[in-house]
Amino acid sequence: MTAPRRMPTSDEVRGLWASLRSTYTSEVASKADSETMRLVAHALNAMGVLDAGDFLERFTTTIGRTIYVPFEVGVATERHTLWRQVVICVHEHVHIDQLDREGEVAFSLRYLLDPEARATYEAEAMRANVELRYWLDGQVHDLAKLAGNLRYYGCRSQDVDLARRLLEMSARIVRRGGVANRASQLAIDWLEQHTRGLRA
Amino acid sequence: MVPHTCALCYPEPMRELALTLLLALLGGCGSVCTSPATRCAGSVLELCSPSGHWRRVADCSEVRGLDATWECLEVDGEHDCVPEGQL
Repeated sequence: MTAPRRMPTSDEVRGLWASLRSTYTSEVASKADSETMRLVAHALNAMGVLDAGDFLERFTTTIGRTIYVPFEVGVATERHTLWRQVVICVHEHVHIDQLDREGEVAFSLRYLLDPEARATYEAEAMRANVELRYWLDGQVHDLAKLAGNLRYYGCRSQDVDLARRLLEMSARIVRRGGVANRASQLAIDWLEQHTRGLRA
Repeated sequence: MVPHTCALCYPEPMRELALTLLLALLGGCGSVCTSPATRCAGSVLELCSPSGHWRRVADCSEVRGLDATWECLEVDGEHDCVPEGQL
């Protein structure tokens, strides 16, 4: 994760989250306080997919229009710096765009049942990470490494390869100066209007 | 018609119908394209996946940047989102 020239302030991070939440009518909930998330964590643990502690402490999860976060928005931790919270905000709202585009039932079934579709959705959301970093410092992630994170999502090696290829095609758009994700467009507009000195 | 690659798609009619609908929802199990082909489906840039299904990369008409309208075009044998008039 890239560090910006200066970290965004807590108020800036809260402001961005509030802006996207208002636009998307989304909600934020604490992952640790959610009984649903604890049940999901135990289920994933029992299936051997993911350690329950990792699921609850490392990963942000979006279900419907609710974003379950393992941090308090605007409060930095070693794992979830304020810049990382900015990226997570945009990434998760891309999933809400996907849900709106495809319908809640179709999107949820595809995401849960089809690892190739899951890799495609995550690659689109990961493009937000790429778009924000490019806005920040003009650099593009190591796309193979970024796609490799999908191993935590129950994706197979061919799905990870697909995500890498999708990200490479997206990165070409980004290097040309384009921003494809609506959530990234809204976030970049907000950051340009409300922050100074973040960009290199 | 249920694609022949689906081993679970041959039981009694109702179950077959339910499974067929589910698979249709998921994109079906038969290949429709050859990986790693690309195409423009209208303004949507797509990549053919290893399983032979078209997967969305981006809707080029929704790309913003350079104060331009973006479009899906074939560039050097591969499809891509480019600002209108750039090529």
